[in-house]
Amino acid sequence: MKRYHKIISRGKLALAFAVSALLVYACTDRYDNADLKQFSDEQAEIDGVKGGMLLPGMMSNIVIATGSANYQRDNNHNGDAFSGYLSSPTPFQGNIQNRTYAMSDTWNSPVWTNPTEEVLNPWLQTKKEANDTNYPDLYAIGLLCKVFVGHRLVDVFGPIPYTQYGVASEVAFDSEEAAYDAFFEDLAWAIDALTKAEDESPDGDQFRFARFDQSLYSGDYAKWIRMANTLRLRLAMRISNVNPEKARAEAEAAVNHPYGVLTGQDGSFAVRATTTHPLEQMSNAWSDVRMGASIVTYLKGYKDPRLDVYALPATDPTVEGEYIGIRNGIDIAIKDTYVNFSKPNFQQTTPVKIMDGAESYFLRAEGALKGWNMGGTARQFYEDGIRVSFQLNGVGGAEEYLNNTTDLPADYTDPKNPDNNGGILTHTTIKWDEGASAEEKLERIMIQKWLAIYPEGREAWAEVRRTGYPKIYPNVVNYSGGLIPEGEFIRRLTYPTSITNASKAAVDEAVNQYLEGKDSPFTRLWWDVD
Amino acid sequence: MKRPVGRPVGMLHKPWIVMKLSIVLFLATMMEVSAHAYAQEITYRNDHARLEEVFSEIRRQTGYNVLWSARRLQTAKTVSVNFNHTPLEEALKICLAGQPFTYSIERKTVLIREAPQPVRVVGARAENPPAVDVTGRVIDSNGRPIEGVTIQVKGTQNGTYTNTAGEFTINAPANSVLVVSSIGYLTQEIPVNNQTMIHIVLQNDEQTLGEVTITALGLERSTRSLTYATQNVSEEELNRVKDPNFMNAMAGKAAGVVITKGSGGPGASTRVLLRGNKSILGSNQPLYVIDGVPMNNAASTSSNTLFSQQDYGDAISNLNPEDIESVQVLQGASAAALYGSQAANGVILVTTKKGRKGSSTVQFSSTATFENPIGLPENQTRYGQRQPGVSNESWGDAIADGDNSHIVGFFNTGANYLNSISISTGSEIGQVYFSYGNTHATGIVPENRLNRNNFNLRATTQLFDDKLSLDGSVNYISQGVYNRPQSGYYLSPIFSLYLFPTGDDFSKYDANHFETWDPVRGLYRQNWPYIVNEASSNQNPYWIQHRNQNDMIRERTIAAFTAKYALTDWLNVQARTTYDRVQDRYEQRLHAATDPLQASANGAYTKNTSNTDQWYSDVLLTANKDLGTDISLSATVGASNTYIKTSATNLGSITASGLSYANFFSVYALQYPFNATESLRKTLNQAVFASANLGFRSALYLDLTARNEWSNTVNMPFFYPSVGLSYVLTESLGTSDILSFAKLRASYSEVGNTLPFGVANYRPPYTIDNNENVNPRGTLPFFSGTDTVDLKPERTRSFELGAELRLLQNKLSLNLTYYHATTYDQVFTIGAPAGSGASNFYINGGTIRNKGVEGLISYRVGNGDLQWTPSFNFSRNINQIVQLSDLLTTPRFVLTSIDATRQVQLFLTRPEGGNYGSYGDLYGKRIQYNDDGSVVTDNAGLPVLSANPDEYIGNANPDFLAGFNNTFSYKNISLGFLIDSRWGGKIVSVTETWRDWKGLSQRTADARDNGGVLVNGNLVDAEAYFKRISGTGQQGAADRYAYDATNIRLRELSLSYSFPQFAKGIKELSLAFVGRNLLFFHKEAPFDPEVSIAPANGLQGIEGFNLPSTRSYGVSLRATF
Repeated sequence: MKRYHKIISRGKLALAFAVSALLVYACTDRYDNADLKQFSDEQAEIDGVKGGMLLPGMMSNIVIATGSANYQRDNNHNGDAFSGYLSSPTPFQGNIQNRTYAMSDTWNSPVWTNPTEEVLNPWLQTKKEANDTNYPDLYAIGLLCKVFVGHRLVDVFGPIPYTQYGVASEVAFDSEEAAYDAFFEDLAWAIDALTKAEDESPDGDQFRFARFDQSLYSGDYAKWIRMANTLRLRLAMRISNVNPEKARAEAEAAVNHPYGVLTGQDGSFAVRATTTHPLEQMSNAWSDVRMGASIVTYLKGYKDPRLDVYALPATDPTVEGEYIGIRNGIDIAIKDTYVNFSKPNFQQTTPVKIMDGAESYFLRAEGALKGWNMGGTARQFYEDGIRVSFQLNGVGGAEEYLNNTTDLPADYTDPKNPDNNGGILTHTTIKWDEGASAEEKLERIMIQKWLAIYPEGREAWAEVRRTGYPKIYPNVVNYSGGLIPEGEFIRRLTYPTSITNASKAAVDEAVNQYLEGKDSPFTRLWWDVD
Repeated sequence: MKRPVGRPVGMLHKPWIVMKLSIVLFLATMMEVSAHAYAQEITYRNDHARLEEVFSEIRRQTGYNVLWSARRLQTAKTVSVNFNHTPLEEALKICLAGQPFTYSIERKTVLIREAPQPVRVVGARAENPPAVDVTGRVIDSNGRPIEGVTIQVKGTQNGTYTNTAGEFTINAPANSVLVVSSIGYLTQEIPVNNQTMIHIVLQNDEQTLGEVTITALGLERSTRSLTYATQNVSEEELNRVKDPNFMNAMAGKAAGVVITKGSGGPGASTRVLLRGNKSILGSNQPLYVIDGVPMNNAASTSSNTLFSQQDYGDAISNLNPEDIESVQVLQGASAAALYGSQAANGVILVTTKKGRKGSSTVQFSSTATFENPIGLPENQTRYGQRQPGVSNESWGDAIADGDNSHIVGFFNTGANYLNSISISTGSEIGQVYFSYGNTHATGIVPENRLNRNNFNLRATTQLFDDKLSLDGSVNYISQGVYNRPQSGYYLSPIFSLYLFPTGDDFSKYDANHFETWDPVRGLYRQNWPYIVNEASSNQNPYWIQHRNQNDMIRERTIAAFTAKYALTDWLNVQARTTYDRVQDRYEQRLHAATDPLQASANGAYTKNTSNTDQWYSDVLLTANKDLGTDISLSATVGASNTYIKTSATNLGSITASGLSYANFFSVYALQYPFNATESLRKTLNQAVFASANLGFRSALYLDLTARNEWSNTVNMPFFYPSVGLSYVLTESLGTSDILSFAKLRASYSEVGNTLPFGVANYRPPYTIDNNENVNPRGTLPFFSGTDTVDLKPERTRSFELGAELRLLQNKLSLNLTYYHATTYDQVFTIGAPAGSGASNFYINGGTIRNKGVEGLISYRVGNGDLQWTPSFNFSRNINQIVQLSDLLTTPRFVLTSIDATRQVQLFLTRPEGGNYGSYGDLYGKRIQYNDDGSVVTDNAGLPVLSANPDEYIGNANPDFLAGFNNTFSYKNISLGFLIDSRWGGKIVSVTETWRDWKGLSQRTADARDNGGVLVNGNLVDAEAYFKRISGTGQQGAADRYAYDATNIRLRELSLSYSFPQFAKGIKELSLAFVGRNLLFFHKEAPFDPEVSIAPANGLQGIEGFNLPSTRSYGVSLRATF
């Protein structure tokens, strides 16, 4: 009986296992551990997309054009405020943060992480894909983006990892000088590659690059080369106080390159905003951005026609119809107090400016002032710079403005709190004065460059630190805990925990070697010398 | 002399139409059905055999389970038997001859019961009172009638059985005593005392030898052989006070189960935690297993921030609680070891109902409960706004007519209607269960409602001499949740309601005035003067509920089929497959005139659809065999295959680009650029597993399990073993009046927590922005240059020890467990070092240990009419972060950043000097103190807060949980209540912070009354003080807003009455009054600290404009026909 059962059961056992095998192994295809609807390497191979597919995102994140929240932290909570351009009615974090000189880690973290994630890591990816040999011209565009964010990072933090980027999981930070050396090398490589491509096939860029170009240069390598030369000139000027020889050599090489630097015809280097200009959303929907007191007093006092273009009149009953900014670094109890002061004037469609078309003129003016071979005189470049800026802003009256010898910046009166009142910031007028001191000429150039390159606060803040011009209103409230002496200006951002946490050893070494042992907001950068 | 109205078990009964249908249904699919008589034979010889020995032999030789009550068998005589291929039934007759026992055979189980003795007519004697007809009804402790109960007049042979309605009639002397007994229940003696109507409640006899417990994979195992802790929660306990998400009804009923109700109104996700948090980035929620099949608890994703905190509901809440027969909680990893990579957080096994053989019932239940908010903030009424009707603060002048009634007035009385009808019927070969459940709930905030329909059809059959059994079911669920309120900052009606300034008149903006006609645009505009971006979005709460609408529609179909075949009497094979398809549709419509922070001038629209398909199949080969007289073996080998496909398509407008036409809520209206994302993910998990349970003399059991697993989310196979030992002391020591049962158990296991999808992918796909920008690969498995590491799934090694004792003739039972579970290879992301080339790295980087105790003590008091069954459960869990990888160069891992809450952050910290950090540690800013204890102040005399929000505030998890569950029953009346308590743990309130900032809390009014706040003995301005400590809503002094979450509450109360039978067709009718959260005996926080804003790991211990919790009460009707 049992035996019989066993025979039966053996047959059934076999059957059962056959069923089980069917059930279990019916679907043993091994899928890649990937989301099948995401953009893959296979897709990137088609049409050679992989050569340039990362470029739109990279160029849109030099100055962030892809999202207001990121722009707010990357630019607005530091450079835009510290340059005197823009201010905020919002007492963020109990009014104790960057704007009142208490370093806010949550704000400063994205200053590092955004450009790394959106520009440096993509560059590394293109490098790993050997795009520098496969698509040298497209790689050059990415390299330009890399230099752009590299210098913007160095100019806020100081030492960063640049030359060793992506070589190992933990790399040493470069001194600012080493980083600047590398910027010039990278720029030279990129300019050569683009020049070669443009010379070989002037229309080739339209086939290869135009589809990836988010900027107003519409894929024109010639304009990109001039922009790259201008960047080279900018960086040369930045180091002119610490390494005058190299500065001069780089500046002259840039200006004398066959394609030269940007001109009024090229227009500004700007990209289309993904959805809206971040400052439009931040000033309208969020009510977090208003004009800064400093720039409004200059524009108002100089009767500068660009004021109408840059700002909107206040709607606060105490100052209705006037142009009035908010002084930075003041005591704000509630948002209502200043929320109806002048808004900056941005539209959804306003392109996000990375480098102003007039900047090259003012850089050459300063170079000429230093006696460099810039192909013209300081006065000529100064005046042309103002003309180009007026033209780019669509306002007239440049000649009248250039001859204004009387108007001075206005003083500042805060109708809500007299503690914030401030006098006239400078007695330097607009009209070029060949007989003036070199210092006055420098201030004149710097004021006009500052007025022209608005609203790119990160660059403006760097130049204010380098030259001390233009003069802007210092903070009234200072929560730095003594790190920044009263009446002094902030010199850099401290490293956020996103860096200090992940790269402690490298940061400690950088601070000790290059920052006088102090990761302080008052530690001067390498190029920031008197 | 009347004939008993009852009938013996096993007799044919009236067939029902439904039953016939079921038979036809099965016959149609089967070629042949034959019904042989049992052909089991016994060969055994023993001259002085105890009945137990004979039964053991029968069990061994025939594979039939023999159930008896050990105590009753003590009265049995030894028998002399000599069986030689004697058929089973004959053997049973022989050994029971002359004994006070009888037997019955159901399927493969022999039930030994006390025999009803032939009634002898005894002549009435003068000194004896006359015999009367006593009628009565026997129910179980849950009020269900018990069929086949033996009713016997003590000391006589006079007896009868109860019928299907539990009724009996017996002729008994008025001073006699009735002995009421039934297998599986404790025998009771009831004095007649001249009564003619007697109600009897029988209590379960948990010592029944044959008691089985459903374990992993749905395997039935003898309870005494289990080597780990499990706890059963019965249907009655679950359904006593119902909730639209039935998991909420589990709170306080099982040791070591932490239930935190979600903050999203009816049907919101519930966070369930067994034995502490184990995983940093992975799930900490248990695996739900329905009838042996793991269920995907999909779509319970929730964001880790206080912004846009939308609860999409969880999957377990979809079930109809009336379909549930029991819930078994497997707290520990050992119990769940067979589930391998899904088992780390324990398992909740849900067994659903099926049709029963031989009885046909229709059951109807209806519950209506009503709920009101509790723990609402009370705003100060003494100070108004600076600019009445304009400024969004209440720091103005003293006013006389301040009013705070709008907060209470905003909330409706929520209503939950749960109706269910089920039909269960069956014959020897086919059984059917069908149910329909409808849940309709309206939330406490306007426009919020839930509607759910559950259809469940399950059919079972046994064919070929019961060798083949088939079990098929289809479950269809459709659920719609409308306008589920959001919590936190954005789109939360609670935010703007609680912060409405004192002095302004809320009736200007109420349900009839929340919008005003705009003749220029030809639409209704929001009427609310406080739309200003102040660290959040502030909108009219009625506008949010009426004009910021959302729909969540879910359709779900679960089809399951199981075939089981008995290959021999000790070996069977089972194949099972379940297909679970969840289809979700989500729509959000924000009307024009919504806060520009949230929507464009023309409004905003989002439409998401997602599907989750899970196909689970397994095959099990199970053997139950006695190897010799002393050793029994129960073993299973099997294989399983789980295939899950999730897909989603999401379309939605972006605030900046918005819609082409106002209030045109359609994909047509989306203006470029808009959000368009799609995903399709397939995961495949295959496993082979085996388990063996060796028993020695029914006293010592060894349990071994092993599982090897392959998953496409992990680059290598994984092996998960477990081993356990249990020892029934009373089996060798014997029982006494004091000690009835004692068991010790120990087990060790290794289980996992599978890698999240895509984590181990070295080349994750590129992502594409709305404007077609391609973004690079961001978070990658750790690499250095070209070196990469293989990520391993998290692994939990756990060890547990337990003891079970039953004392005082089973009246008192104790169940204690100590556990120690360490989870290794925590997967988490670290910020990649600067310059590494990745934004974040995934690493296996940490070890977390949970250890603790759980206990359950229950007692049974009373006899006859009055019964009291108290039970007390408690648990204590200690969580320690034992190690963090050196790859994480900081002393801590940021689980939740300050940005996500603006008040606190959650860190996991590396142990320092023997002090361990713990999961749920909250960090934030604190007020600074000098060494002399005085407050550090600035020039203005205001307190100085720490510079960074990284000072320790407290831990979110409770230190100790205790539940005290009680049922009193007296005759037909039953009173149940549950006192639940939670001790320790901190909860930080964002709501209180904002109320201080805005000058709305009573504290701020009192301070103003007093002329300011004393800081170091100096009076400082109240407004400046509260703005400082509240940080104006961002990074305030978190220590000031951290509340002790300790609370003791009357969680459940029910008073039920079981009607005596008044109509023939009605077997049972009971009515209950129920209540939940009726009162707090103790509570420290000004709100209910047990509501979580979201089930996310990183938002525990944070309250932020949560939907308030509720007190509910109602009636419940249950009828069985």
